[in-house]
Amino acid sequence: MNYQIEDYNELNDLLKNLNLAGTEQFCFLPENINHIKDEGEFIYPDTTTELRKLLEKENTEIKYLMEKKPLLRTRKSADWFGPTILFGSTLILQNPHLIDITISIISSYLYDFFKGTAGGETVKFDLVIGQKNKKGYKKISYNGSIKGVEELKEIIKQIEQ
Amino acid sequence: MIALRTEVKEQFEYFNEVIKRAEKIAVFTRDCDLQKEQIEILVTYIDNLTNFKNENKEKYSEEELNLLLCLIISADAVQKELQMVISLKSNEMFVAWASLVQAQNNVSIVARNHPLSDGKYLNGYVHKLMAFEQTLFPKMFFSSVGEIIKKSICSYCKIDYEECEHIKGKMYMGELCVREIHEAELEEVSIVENPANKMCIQIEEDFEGKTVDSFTLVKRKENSDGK
Repeated sequence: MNYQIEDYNELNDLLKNLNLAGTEQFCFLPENINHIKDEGEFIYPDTTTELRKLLEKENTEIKYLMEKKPLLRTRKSADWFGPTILFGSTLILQNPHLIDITISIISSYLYDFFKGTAGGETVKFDLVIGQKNKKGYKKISYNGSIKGVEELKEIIKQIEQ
Repeated sequence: MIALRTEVKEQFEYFNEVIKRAEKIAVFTRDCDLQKEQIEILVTYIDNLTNFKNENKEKYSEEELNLLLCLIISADAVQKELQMVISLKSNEMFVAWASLVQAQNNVSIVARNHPLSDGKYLNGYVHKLMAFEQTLFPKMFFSSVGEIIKKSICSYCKIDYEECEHIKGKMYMGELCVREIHEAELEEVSIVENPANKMCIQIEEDFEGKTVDSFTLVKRKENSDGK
């Protein structure tokens, strides 16, 4: 498993500057959030659409950060580039299983997605976790095999403690 | 366990017979004419099975229709494998490559959608096709495209792909869902080793001071218009 954890406290300011503070609990973050001022220019990986549909199918509603129709970026590589998913701290308190459910859905989808291929696939995506009793966030950037995705559940539990 | 109608079971059994013969012929050393004849048999078989599926759309369950589509796509994979072998023998290397890539894509679709299996039974075939790629063809470089999708439609329900519940690459009532991109902005084209689309190959490369065909290392044949 290959992952990195870093503080992502600048997200507060980014959301504030976009007048989106407080609206974000469980949503996809655009990959260009750091340098875009107009929410109509937000870009997400094209894989975001499938994940949103799969989560909704499991009665787990997730939104894009904005209301406008998203722009979606296709990648050139055979690797799987997933979106950045934000879990707000309030929602984690209300629904402690949300992170585990989301990771299970991603993992299951990826096993299915790569069926019938010769292996060696790499998947990349980020999870942003709101910190309980703090106003900050931790960002987990995953870059590894499908097998390691499920292991993120334990990593996140350690962050939350 | 999925209940299959007798006529669907019979189709499944007949498929196994057709594929068994085709696989015996899809070997490099077999006679070219025999292989060409086998392609025609498979094309006819695929047409007939497609008609059978379409005629029974209202009657059959989703699992039955998806199974029939899996049989059709599997037969097409073996047909493409045969085409690859014939093309290699005829020195038509681009066609051989394209046939191999289509066979690989077909196998992946079936593995993801087979209603009676988790797709693991196809692992041997997947690795055989990968071995062809690695041993029969040179290491390829690809010109892969990155773009921003602005409008896409679901091929199954024909509405905005963002609005429907279908997932690309999955089968619904015997149809494959594809995300049809109707409006996109090209961002970049770059050279990659592990592309999303293996059809985006570099067809020419430099060899001993000359620009040559990437597969054969000889000068590419000009078309009638001089291109």
